[in-house]
Amino acid sequence: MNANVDDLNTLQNENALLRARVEEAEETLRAIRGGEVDALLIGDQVYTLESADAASNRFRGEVLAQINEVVIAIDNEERVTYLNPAAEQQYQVAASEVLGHKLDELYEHQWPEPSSEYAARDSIRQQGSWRGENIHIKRNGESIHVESTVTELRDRSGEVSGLLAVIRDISERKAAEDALRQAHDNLETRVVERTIELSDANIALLNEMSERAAAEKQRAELLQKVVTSQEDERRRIARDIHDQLGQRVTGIRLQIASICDLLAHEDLPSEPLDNLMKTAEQLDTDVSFLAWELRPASLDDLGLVQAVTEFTNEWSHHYKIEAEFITRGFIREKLTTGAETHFYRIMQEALNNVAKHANADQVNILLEANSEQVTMIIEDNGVGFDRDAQKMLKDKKSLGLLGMKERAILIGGSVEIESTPGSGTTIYVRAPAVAISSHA
Amino acid sequence: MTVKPWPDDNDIGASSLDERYVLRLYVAGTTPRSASAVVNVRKVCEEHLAGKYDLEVIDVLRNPEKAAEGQVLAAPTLVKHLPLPMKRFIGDMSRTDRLLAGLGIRVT
Repeated sequence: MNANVDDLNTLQNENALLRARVEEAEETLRAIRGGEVDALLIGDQVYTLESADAASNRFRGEVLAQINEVVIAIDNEERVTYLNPAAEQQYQVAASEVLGHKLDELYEHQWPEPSSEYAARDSIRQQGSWRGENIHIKRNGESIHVESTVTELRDRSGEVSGLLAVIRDISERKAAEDALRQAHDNLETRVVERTIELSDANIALLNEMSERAAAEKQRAELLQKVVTSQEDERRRIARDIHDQLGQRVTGIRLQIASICDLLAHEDLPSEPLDNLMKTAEQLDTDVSFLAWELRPASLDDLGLVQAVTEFTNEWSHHYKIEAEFITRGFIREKLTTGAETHFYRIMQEALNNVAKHANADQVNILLEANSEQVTMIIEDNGVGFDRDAQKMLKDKKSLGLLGMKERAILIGGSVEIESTPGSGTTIYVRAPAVAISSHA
Repeated sequence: MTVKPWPDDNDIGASSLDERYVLRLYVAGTTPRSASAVVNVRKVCEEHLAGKYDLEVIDVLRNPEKAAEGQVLAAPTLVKHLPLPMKRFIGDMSRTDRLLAGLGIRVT
């Protein structure tokens, strides 16, 4: 009997369980028919169902259209109601973990400025959407720069039901922008530094140039002084020789002449006296020549043309070399007295060089002038010299050549030398002419 | 890097064992009703069962074997393991009053 009661209880229990299972199955079927489920599970196979809900389809359509971007939906309480696989990947979470949680559990916002957040909320409230950039700090602490587009979601009745955010990770772009900005800043800095350096170098160069110019000027002034005092000294010595030594030598010569006259009718050998007379005459001539060579009075009194004419005649006679002097268009006023002296000395040095080195038998001197320039050309038909010799002369040997050039520089002019072995030498001396007014 | 823990789901405080709710929610990924179900269940738990519930959300697309173990036929399905009797709810749980009644929660 007891066994029967137990059996009955067992049967009743089994019946109740079965009934419950049937109810569950019916409930499930009703839910499936009612479109309340998304998936059916048979064994371990899962069959997802298409929802008949049009709004859901539209929602999914929007999501699918942007499936490569992170998509997150929240409700009005900021609970996450949807996130797509891209979001799961970006925030390293599973949807089932996140759904229903507050958004700030998924990530925290960091805004460029506190006001940016209010501006974003205002924009959503007033225009229904916002687009902008901020920083998301993930659950693992990592932060990413994102660009988000947030739009309002509305339910069937048109009430705002939440927000839909489409989010793009722009960290790489930001890093590239930062790197570019950094590179740009660096470049700017380097340009500024380089500009300062160049400016400093320029100032240093200008200083050096001005120092050099000052030194050049000093040197020219010094040279001018040297040359001037040299000319003064020569003039003084020349005058002394001429006035004192020359007078005395002439006196000796005249005295010898009167002795010769007194002893003319005596029967004495005349040879020693004749020799003495010749020596005295020669001495007289030499002294005059020396004085004249040092500083011809004609240069001061009669000018360059007269001085050069006298010099070439004397020089030609002295060295037995033919010399021809021609002028063309030159008048005294074309050169200052100082410049005349320089031209004269250059000519003198040139002819001395011819006498010493050229082995020439003909020299031509041309002095010509136009309104701008005075030119003197001295050419000989001597042995000449080649470029190397010329260079050597220039380098060390010939102080004469250097002196010629320095004198030319002092009057703002130049000296050029042309020569080839066997074809003689030509020297060109050029200097600016003194401007002469037409009514002078 | 330290990953911040999720705040709830295992929110069992000093409550007695009798009042403890052990819930499993089976969902199919982020399909609309599944997503709604997760949101709605979490909301109800936080609002009405704070400090005394243990919620496990199971994605049947990722863990189909767990669905088979639980003898679940459709997703979303919420299973109340404790307090007894065990009970199942099917759908997106959007009708909160029915869910509360089914869970035996008196709304004061």
